[in-house]
Amino acid sequence: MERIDILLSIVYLLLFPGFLFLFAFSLFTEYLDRKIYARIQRRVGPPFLQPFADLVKLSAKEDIVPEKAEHFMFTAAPLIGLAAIFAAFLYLPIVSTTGLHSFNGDLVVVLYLLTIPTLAMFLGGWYSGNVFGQKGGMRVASLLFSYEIPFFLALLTPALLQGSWKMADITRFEATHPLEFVVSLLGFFIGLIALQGKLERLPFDIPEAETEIVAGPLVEYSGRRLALFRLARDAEMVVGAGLIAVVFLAGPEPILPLEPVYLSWLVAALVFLLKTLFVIFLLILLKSAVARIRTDQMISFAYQWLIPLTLVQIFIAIIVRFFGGI
Amino acid sequence: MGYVKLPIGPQHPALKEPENFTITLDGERVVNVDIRIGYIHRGIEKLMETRTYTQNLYLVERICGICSYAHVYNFTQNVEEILGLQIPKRAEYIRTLFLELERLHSHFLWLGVAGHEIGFDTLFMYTWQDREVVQDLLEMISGNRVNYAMNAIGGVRRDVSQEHRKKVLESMDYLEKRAEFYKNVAINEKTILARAENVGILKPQVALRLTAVGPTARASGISVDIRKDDPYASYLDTPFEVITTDTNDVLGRVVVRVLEIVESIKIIRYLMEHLPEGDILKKAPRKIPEGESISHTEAPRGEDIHYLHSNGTEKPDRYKVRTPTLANLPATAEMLKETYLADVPIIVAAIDPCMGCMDRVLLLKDGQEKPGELISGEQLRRYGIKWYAERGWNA
Amino acid sequence: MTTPEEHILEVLKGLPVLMTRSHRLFLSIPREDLIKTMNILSSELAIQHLSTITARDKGNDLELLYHFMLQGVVITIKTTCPKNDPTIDSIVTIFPSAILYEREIHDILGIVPRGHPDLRRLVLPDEWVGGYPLRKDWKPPAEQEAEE
Repeated sequence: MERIDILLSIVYLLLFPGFLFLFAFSLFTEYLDRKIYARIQRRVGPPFLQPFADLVKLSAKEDIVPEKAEHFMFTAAPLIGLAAIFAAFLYLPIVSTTGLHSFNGDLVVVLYLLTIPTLAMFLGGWYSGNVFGQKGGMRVASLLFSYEIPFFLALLTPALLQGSWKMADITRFEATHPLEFVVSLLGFFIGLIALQGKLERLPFDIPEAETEIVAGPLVEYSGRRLALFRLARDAEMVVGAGLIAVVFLAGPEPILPLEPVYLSWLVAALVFLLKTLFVIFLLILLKSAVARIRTDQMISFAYQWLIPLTLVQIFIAIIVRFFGGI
Repeated sequence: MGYVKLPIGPQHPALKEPENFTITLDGERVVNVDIRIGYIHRGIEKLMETRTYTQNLYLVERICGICSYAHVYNFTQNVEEILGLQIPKRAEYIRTLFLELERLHSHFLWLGVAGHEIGFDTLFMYTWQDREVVQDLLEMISGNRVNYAMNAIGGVRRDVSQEHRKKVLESMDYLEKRAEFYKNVAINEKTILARAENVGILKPQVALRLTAVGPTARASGISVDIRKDDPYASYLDTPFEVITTDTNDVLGRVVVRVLEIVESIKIIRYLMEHLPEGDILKKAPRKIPEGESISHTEAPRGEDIHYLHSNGTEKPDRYKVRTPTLANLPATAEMLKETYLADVPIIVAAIDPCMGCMDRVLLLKDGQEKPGELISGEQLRRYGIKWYAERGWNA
Repeated sequence: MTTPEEHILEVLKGLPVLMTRSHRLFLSIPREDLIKTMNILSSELAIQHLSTITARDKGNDLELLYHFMLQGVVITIKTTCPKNDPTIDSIVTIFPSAILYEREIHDILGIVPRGHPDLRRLVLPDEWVGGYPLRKDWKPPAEQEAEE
């Protein structure tokens, strides 16, 4: 019996819904991102396997560490980023009400793990020894708080409504109280915008701003390391969107008690996927309709609009809770 | 972390052609800008002295890949003035048509580039698709998309047929709708406003003092347009307005260009509806008598001035070209001061830079022993063959 | 109503102004009078628009043409300087936009504008040692070497 548990854990960790699944889903998301973006711009867009082909090709390319770069940190940065995201993914409830582990406070752990790729980006840029990379790294660091604070606060709203820091409890609560979504609608959109900032996508792709600082932190990266960074970026999008789907849209819930049990897992995973894709679709729409804003504009946008609105959302949540909840 | 020197160019994604802006930064603020040009100096002025007028007709077109026609027009106008040649009215109209079609595609192109510089790639894709409509018209009439080879000394080489006229008028209806759409996007889209409003300020006095030209000057409220001030081609017949705004910023330059698209459409409609009958080409002699002539036109980017000195032979004695971008550079350096790094690409793009200017390839040798060496085309060819042979490839 | 040409001719009365066609005025002056003439253009005609400066090799002399524009009229001031003394007064203080054009003529024809604040190369590479390409006696360095 115990052996089967271990086997199941390994399957969960490595195959489904673990690393392999995340890997495939990340590349699929990149395909969707590029394809929909292209169709909106009246272009044809890439074929289905293009993101995978890009990854394979990049991995086979010459991998250069510039002389001026700090070798260890330069190499470690993409790995740290990728590892943190894969770790975060394991806590998301996908096939059942819980992830691999579930405990009170797992939401906070995922939020923390999702901050690490940003720091990895800063370290990679800073230690690349290139003036554009350092400029980009500085931008990453200076913008960090303008989206992390709203992101944290917005995602805590459902937890406040329900009174638990456990994602399993939150999804359960949402599945039984659909009104909860209406109350936290503001938080949902703030979460989306902040996630766009976290992922450094338009209009917040300031650290990478191709026409200003070439590619920012990624400017000296090539070959395998660049491939890892790109994969980390795609995976971050999946995990970020997945987290929003879990916290606001009830994740894999409602879980149907089907027989045999793996059928119910599959249905749950499908529900989770659809919700995640919905969130990703909103992110793509936002990206294609705007221009890039400036650093100062983003900071003032965050402090004048995002953070006050998040506080309003939290206030609403507290009032609702105080008057007996939903 | 003190001042940082950031090289924008000669190779940089924000620049479509090699130039160098060395920017001194204090954090995100620009403290000083140093502009270095000449990376694509091709020696056309010198080369022109060694070629006949007919050959030069095609060389002059290759000064610029966008406003090629403005240069050819200036060249032919100069030669015809020295010859005292009056070209047929129909040819004048066709030339004007090309000047305006060129302005149309150049402005659409610019709009896309401006969008790209501020990260608005959707706008870039949209405008470049609409630009294709103009490119198709140019290809339909002249057979070429970029260097039209339309002018001959004494007229134009190809006629505009009845079908061409119909097609041009149809396309103008479509483009007018699109121009209206872009105008709405430019003045309503929040992120564009955030990036263009009060950015790259150029006060009218400064613009005048530093002789900004074209849409850059007109966005600072200066009503300067060679088409009105010194009418050439058939601009005297055609009704149109000179567009100016007084916002002095990048947004003003966007608005001026979008409204100029509308004016160009009006001019093209008028030309197509009033196209006179008659010949399109007069015979011109090969030798040009001694004389000098100055011709200037309102190219899409501003005043483009050419000077020709002929010495009675088949080849010009001196030919001088001043492109609008050079005239706008001092003003650009002024606009860049005290801005943000993020605004540098859009401010530079807002003058619509187009560096055109010798038979010269510069070879940089390893180890900097001999820093610059001039080699001829033949030497370069041999060098190339050797280079590939050394690596075991077939040249 | 007076045309812009008539107005300019009126102001420049007494000077040998040549009108080749409408909108084209030429005025030849000795190089000593350059600054004086520029001051007249700047103060009395209020011209600010210097289109460009053309320089050309006339054999023993180098000719400079300053193209100005006022209301569409191109006014060209012509002056010459001998090849053995290729200097001219810089007009940057009067017309700031001349800064690039004077650098250009210095670069390609070797005319030295006296008093110019920044005479770095403009169009030719910084390491350029091949002479002044737009002079008629100039040969590409490859040919120069072959002759030596």
